[in-house]
Amino acid sequence: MSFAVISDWHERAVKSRQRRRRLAWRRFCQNGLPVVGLGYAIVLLIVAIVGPLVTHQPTIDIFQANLSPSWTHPFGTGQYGQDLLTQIVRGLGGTLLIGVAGAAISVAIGLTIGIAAGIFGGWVDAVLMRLTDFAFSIPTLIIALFVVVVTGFSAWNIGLSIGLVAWAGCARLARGLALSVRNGTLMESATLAGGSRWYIATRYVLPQIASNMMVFFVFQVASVLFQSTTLIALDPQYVPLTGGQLPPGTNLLLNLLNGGGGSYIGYRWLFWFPLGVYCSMVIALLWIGDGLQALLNPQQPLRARRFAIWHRRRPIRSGKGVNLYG
Amino acid sequence: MRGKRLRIIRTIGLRIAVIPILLCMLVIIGNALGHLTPATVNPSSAVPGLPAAKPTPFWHSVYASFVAIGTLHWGTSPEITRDLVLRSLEISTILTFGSLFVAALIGIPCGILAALKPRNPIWQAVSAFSVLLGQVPPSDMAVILIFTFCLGWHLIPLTDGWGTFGDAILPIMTVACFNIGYMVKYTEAGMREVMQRSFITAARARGAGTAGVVVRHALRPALTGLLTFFGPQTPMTLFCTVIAEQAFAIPGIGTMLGIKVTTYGAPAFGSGTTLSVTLFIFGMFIMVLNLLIDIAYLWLNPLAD
Repeated sequence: MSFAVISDWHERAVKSRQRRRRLAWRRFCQNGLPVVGLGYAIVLLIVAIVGPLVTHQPTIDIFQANLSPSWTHPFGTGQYGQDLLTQIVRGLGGTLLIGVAGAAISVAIGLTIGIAAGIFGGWVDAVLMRLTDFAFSIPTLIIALFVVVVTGFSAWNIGLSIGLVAWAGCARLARGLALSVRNGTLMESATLAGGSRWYIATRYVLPQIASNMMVFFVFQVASVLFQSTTLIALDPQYVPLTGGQLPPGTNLLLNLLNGGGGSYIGYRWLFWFPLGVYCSMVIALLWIGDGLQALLNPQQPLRARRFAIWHRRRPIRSGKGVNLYG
Repeated sequence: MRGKRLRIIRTIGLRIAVIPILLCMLVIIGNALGHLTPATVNPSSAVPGLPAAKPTPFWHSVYASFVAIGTLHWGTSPEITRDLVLRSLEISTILTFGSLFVAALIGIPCGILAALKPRNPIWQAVSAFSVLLGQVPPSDMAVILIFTFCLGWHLIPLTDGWGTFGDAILPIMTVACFNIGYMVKYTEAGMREVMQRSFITAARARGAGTAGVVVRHALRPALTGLLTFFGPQTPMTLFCTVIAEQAFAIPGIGTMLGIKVTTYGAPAFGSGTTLSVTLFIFGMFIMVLNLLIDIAYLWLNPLAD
């Protein structure tokens, strides 16, 4: 046995990992739609981050009210003469914050409960799963509405309120996945090696179910956004606690979405542009989720590359007849 | 077979027995949340100079909400009588179940056809469009439906309120659109998976036609995936119903309870009675729906215990 053979083995491992990654990326790209969704989501993210830095709060000018789309106002102007595009760009960040914060909080709670139930088993499992069943059968959004009222209307609070009540699906999924990991031999070896419960949960179970949780997270962002639209349709901003005033920092895309319906006659752009941006955002998220699902499914057959213009340079396979172990 | 039926009946009986306990827990939770409002934590007087009224003690308010629920005083104001409460319950039930029925009637056949014809662009477009339809917020969907079917094409007379058959069409469609999206998606996915199983091949080999295979053999196992996904969606369906009631001015439970956040503003909501009654009614709807879904699941899934 020589060092050369060992280094060859390492090289092979790296190559195979690269190949697996390339195949996963091809599975993600196969449909085409996930790539479009990913590109669109990245563009939206950049706009949401950069937009508030390069635009000013839209000015109120009633002589410019309800102008139809033109070169100076690409999306038209609103009821008080504010530029709709600027409003959308400035409101995008808060909307994305609602989705991401809500999904992150719900996934964090659900993951903790699900993994605890899956690893501990026994009465802990029974209690936590009955709790999850209870969370499934209560009107969660009414509690979320209440949390918004008590904590005040802002993007972060809406995300928090929905995240606090929407964790049940995640808990059930995480428990199922943790159970499937627990019944394998890996867990036994970890226990025999003297790993504590916490060590096993964080080092053995979590990495194995993280990819599935990522898919769930993407779909959960879309779900939280939908729930927040229904929450906002119930006018939570006109609360006595805030004196009937919109607090600063609540320039949300979802508010525009809610207000556009009243302007449908005559000023249709006030309805269709926010709705279009919202729906395209959610559909892009769903496409990304579908792509991630395909990426995680190695059994899915890959089509032959039809449009490969150049052939990929492949290293000559030298290993077929060589004894790996020297 | 008889043993299985007994097991099913026992499971359902257990579920029904648990419902009142869960509802009582909901009422207590509602009151506990009501005691967290700023009005209760820091009571302030409506008239300057006078001392603030003491908030009701917790168990008193729990008792009060149980009395309110038991005597059907469910509204936010005393003018809402028992008849109005029962009528609003009836209206909301029709809206919820009608929308689910319509969604299933449209969504499941579309999903089956999209699964059976993967190369047909029309059915693939229908499948993609239904996903889009499911993502449009219900408040906007109501606007779109009104302006398309009432004012644009003059197919349905523009009305508000409740009473005739025509009043029910658009609200039911508004709620159904939310459900059609995932019904198509999950029926399609389930059908695709089931059609590759060996028992389908065996049925085909015995000479059954496509329609026979789908209806007799593939439909039941294909719908179980949809049902497992559907359980968690029931609260959202109910919330869509509330928004449809607002949009079309229908006197359902959402309107009766005045579900706006303004209701939960300080003094009116200090005791938590309104919140607990709201949670009770919605919890009841959700639990009954979930029970029906469980029964349907047990009936559909041949392996279910």
